[in-house]
Amino acid sequence: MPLDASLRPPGRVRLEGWDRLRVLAALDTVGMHVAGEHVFFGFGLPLFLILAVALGVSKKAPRPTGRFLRRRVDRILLPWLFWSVVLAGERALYAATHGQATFAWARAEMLLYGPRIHLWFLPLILVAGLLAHLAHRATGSRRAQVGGAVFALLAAAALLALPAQLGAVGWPFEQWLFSVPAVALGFALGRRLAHAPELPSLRRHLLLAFAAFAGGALALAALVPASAAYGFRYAGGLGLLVLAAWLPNVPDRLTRRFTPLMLGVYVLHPVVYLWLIKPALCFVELGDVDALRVGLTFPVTMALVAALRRTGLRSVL
Amino acid sequence: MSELPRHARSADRRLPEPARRWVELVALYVLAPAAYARWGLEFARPIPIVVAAALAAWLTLRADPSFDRRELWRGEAVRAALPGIALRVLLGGAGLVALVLALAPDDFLDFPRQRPLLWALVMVAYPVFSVYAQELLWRTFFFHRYRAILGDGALWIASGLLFGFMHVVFRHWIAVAATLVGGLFFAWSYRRHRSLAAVCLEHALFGCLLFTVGLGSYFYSGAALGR
Repeated sequence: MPLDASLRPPGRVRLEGWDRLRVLAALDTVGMHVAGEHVFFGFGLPLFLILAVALGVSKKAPRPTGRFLRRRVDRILLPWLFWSVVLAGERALYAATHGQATFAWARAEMLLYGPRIHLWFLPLILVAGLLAHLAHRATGSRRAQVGGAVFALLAAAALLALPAQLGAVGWPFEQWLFSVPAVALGFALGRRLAHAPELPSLRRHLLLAFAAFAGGALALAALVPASAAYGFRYAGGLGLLVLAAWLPNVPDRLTRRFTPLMLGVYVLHPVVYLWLIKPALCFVELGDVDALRVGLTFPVTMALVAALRRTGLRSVL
Repeated sequence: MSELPRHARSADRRLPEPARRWVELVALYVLAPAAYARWGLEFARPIPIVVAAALAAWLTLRADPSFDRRELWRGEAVRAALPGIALRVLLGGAGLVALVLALAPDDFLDFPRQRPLLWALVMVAYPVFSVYAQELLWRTFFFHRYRAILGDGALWIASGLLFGFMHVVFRHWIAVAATLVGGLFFAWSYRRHRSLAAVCLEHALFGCLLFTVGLGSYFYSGAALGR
């Protein structure tokens, strides 16, 4: 999830390709939510997760925990609470206008993630970021940090077995389990970023990290076949990050404009689809065309978010 | 931003590295389509992937100091290419109509008759989102990137053949056969006119014709999933 406007912690290499990937990852997620199939193999979610965790621990020295928490509260907790209230109202309105009981959809466990299922990402990333931050504080010396990063890489591969081992636990808890390896992987990546003064060496290390992780995931898949699908998505997400780092590191204006919109796109796309795109497509009898559902929901939501960011809502988008 | 010094980067890109280019060519234009056709189609549709790959190719070309950016369009060459394009589209179009009448006469013009609005959308969206991306990858990027290892003579033939091969993702021989011929036309035209605009126009005309006359199901990933 694009929680920061810029991917560059001060003094680190800025990877323009990773910004572009966040846009593709958002498209992948929107595709899943509005058409029932991923646009990019489902690599988007691991990508968001890994990047969100990595950026929080990509400084050489960890921030004071209090400052870290204040920043996370502003950027994640408050937007999550705000949009939970708004989307609860929206969902009640939708139910009322569609012949359903106004609050029949409400469940007690929604207190953990929000009134619409896709909001699970925000509380998860809050906790995941905190865990990575605490690991950052616990690994003080550079040697401990390198060791921690290598351990985290291997742990991430091992954690791929978690959802398969625990079985069906319901949504969004399965998504949370799916996300656990990203904490370790993001930590490993963030620590490498912290010590990456030059792009060429970062590229080589990313390639090595990908090979190690993919090898681990492959070995695990041989032992726990049910973990293969998770391994595929994580390896794909990590592979795209590596690939993007190897592409020419040149900025472009469109990506700079689009990237800050992605949090809002993630939060608002189901609403845009349900209230606007779906009725419009059904009206012209094109509701069955998946490409149109995704191809319209994504840019329309971006336009809406861009407009809303010009208002007082900017702080929660 | 920390990077290699500019002169070092430029020098690195100008150095021919035949082995590395061969690996890249085989990975991008042979292994990737084959792997996608075998394992990927169930998980993602081809057009967004082609568009994303084209974006990566565009970035790579843009950062290459030896690349002439005018090759990303060169619209002024369309006029000179038009007579050839018209002739090929007329002959090729007649061939496509004959093919659909021979293979599945009930499908002839079925798409515009059954779903006119969607057909109209495809006629607009296909050239914009799919054709340019494909031509950028299989013509401009390919010609620029692999001229050093293939040479001028083999370059356009390889480009055309690999363009046809890419259509294995649709899991039907008609898709491969038709685009093998089309790919050779496009590659030859690109070699002659060096105009991405001209080759996009020709590709778009053939593509729209193909969807219109009733061969679209051979070029549609949703239908390919059932094969």
